Amino acid sequence: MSNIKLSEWDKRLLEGKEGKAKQIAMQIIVRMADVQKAKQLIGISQAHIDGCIYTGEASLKFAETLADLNGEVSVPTTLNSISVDQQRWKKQGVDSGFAELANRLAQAYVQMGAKPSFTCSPYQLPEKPNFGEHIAWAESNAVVFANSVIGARTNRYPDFMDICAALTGRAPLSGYHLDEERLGDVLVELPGLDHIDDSFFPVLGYLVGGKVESQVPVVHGLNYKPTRDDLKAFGAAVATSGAVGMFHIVGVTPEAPTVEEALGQKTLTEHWKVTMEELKNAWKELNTANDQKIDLIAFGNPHFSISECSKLADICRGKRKHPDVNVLITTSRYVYEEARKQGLTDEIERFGAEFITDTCWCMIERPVIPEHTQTIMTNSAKYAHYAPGLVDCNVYFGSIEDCVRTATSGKPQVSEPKWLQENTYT
Amino acid sequence: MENNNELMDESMRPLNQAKHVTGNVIVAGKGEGEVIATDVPLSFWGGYNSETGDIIDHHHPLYGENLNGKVFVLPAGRGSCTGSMVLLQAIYSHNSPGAIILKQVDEIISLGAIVADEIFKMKLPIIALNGPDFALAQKASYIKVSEDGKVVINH
Repeated sequence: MSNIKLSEWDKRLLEGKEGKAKQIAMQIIVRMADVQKAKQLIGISQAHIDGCIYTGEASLKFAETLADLNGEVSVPTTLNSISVDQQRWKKQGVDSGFAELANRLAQAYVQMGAKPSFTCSPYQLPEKPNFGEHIAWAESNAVVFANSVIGARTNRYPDFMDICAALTGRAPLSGYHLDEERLGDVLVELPGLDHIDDSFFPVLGYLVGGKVESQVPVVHGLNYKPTRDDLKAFGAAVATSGAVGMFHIVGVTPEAPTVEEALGQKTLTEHWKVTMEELKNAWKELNTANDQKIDLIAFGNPHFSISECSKLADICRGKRKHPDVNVLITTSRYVYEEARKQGLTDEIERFGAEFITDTCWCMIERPVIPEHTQTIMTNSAKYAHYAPGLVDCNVYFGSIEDCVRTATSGKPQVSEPKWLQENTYT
Repeated sequence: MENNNELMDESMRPLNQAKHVTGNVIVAGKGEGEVIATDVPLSFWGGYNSETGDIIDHHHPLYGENLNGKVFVLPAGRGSCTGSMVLLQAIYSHNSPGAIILKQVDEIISLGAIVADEIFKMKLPIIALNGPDFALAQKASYIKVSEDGKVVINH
């Protein structure tokens, strides 16, 4: 029935000799390999699981079925953000019935041996993968970061496939696991830009993702050295407006030392010269609010890094947020603990901001977002895109610095970024 | 889904207009029903309510339509990877289409139905048809799918 060449180990798993849970996982992998027209499976060295987000009874039943069959992961496995903050949900007023289901789902994966890392930025953990490693990661922003910035190799694993790969250590050899699929499709040439700040990369990512859809973009002409946080923001945005699983930035990302190496022998589908007008429109699209008040500042979509905590601590040192504005930051327990040891969380909390761990903005609802909230400001293009639909709020988008100015004044401090204003030539 | 409309009288349908085609079986199963067709891909996450079976994507031409028990003919999926979980939830709570006919093999839609089959032994048949056969299916009023991938298209 299947044309896939299986190893002896694959066959053992498929025959149930390594237990029922691994057998089910292998059956799903082989069927998906067939759908993907893969010819063989490969070993993966680690997995990141997104299926721990509670979406209904079936997702819980799926995970508990595998856990009850004594399913155990066979490679190091981390868990994505979950639907509640395990330490703070009571204080936040979250419905206890919902919290119980969300916790049961997380527990099923922990029981199978996954680490309770609860983060959508697994590349910020000490166990992040290395260049060239085949891995099975889910969560769109994590996938695009692993492929593009680290140079590890993963497909955009859908929920369910992530745990099947973790249980068996195997995945279909297809997509971004293959050299040729990692090459660029679209050359994205930037206009000359000055005064770039942290609000540039999410806007560029949002613009590029909307245009290239699931192709691999090669960004060229950037005369600025982006930080890992900039690349995180770009990746999260490009995987929100598009289905991008891999990008190259020439001279920055590891598989793109030159344009030629990023493109290889593949035929370009498009050479796109980005205009200032396109950038300006993308920035405008992310700003869907026009009220004169602000209720909430949202940081940490994807989860805040230690360097972002450090930057935020510097900006808000000696200041105090306006009493009408809530400032919430989502991150992992790992980053929180590291930032705490460096005195950063104290500084940020003195400003009046609060940390939330384990969960993330894509899952947070009211009352964690205070009931009266109508207008949110965020530094994340991903959240600026999803928040109007997820929590029915208007959104301002801006740099971390603009967000802090807004938090202290209680009025939206949103002006066109300098990189848009002072680059009128294209 | 299986067992749907098993008792329906064959003579009720105009069999003389039926076309018999064979597709690429992604998930094998029996299913039949009224056709609901579109030429626009759908993301099940954010586009479909697994509790009601309604299409909730405001930007989709089928916005507001209900898919329960129908044969859903669409070219492909789009958008979020969590679509698999949403489709699984729909199958699990008996709110899914009776069968899905695709033009392109879609991994996310397929995975939801494959997991339903492997874990819950619940079958939502998914068949991919080639271009001309898919075009016929899009214009059909009633479709019946068999285990072996044979599709009977009634206009």
